[in-house]
Amino acid sequence: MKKIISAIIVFTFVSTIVNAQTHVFTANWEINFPTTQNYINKTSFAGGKLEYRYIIKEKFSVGVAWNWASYEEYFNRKTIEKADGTGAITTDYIAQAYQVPVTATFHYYFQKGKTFRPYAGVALGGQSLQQSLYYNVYATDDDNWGFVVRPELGAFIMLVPERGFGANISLGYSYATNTTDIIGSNSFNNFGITIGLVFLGER
Amino acid sequence: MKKYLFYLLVTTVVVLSGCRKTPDTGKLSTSFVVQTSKSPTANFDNYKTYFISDTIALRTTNPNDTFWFDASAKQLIDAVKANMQSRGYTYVPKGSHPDIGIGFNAVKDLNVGIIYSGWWWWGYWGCYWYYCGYPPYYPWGSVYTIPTGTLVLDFIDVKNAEADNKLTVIWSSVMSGGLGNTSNDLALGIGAIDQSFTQSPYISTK
Repeated sequence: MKKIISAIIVFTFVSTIVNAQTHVFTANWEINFPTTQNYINKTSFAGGKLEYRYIIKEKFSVGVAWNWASYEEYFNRKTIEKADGTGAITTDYIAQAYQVPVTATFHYYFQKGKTFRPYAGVALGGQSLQQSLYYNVYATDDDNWGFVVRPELGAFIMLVPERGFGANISLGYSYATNTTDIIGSNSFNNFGITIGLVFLGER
Repeated sequence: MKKYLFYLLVTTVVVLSGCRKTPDTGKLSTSFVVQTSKSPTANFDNYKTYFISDTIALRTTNPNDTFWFDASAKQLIDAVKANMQSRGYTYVPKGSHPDIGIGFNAVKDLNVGIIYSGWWWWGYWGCYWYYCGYPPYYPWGSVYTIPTGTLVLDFIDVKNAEADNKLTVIWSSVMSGGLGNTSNDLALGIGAIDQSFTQSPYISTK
């Protein structure tokens, strides 16, 4: 019995060492490139992501992420016609969209290098999209929620491995089912570059 | 670990600075927003004559305002007439059975909104009363009124009114925007009337 208890204690101890870095925090700046046609095309530099991951089996982690990105573009005065030709509107305007996905994340780590740890992952969840059009002295809003899926490829580059501190960089794509009524769109999509800091914490 | 969380917090604050901001609406044009609609079944070459009153129906916050008939109103009406003439339509008196009756309405409204104090100084980085680098701060909330003007043109099918037993609006233009942003609001109105016809090339006797 003592051998069994000793074995369990030793196993637990070793397991703790192997999985010493179980908690992962990342705080990031995001650059996003919207791809929805006939809508905002201007690159957004006003975005970010906070994320927590829990490593469950050395090469796998589950977590939660909170992103946000603000898009804005000015469109010169132009005439927009209804498809059936029965209406037209002429104005210049500022289109703005504020994207906030909240997701569960799943990641696979290709190797457990000391300084370089590439990964692939996917995030699934809900996305709030707050859209506004500003024209003359008026504004109209269109806010809604959608389902979002965000696959990504990235890597941790451990700058101070012994302290679990490093950089995080990833490339991803976001597909969300948010609607934009003014252009009849049923999705809001974008590519994104994530650059940030990673903190690996012990149990 | 606490130190790392501190770094995380600092980074979070920096990153959060990219959150949603109110856009710089100062770049928006003061030209009226012009929205036109037409009946899907209307054939404008079926009409040759029109009538428009020499006064504009007026709605404001003053219930005594009902008609607008000064020199400014005349210029707006003349702008409509000029565009109709250029499209081949002939003005006729009301009693001469015009094909189209043009209704012309103006609404001058006061939209009241609360705007937080000092917002117009956002981005200011000059000197003010010998203090440099600090924009004026207004420690109170303020209520402002933004006057807006709306012109509405309606083309009414008088020619077929008896046969249809109704006055069908075959075309409409709603032109609206803020007033007082330029020295010449009248020019905004005339420009909007011209734009209404420009974006409605189907209005023609041919």
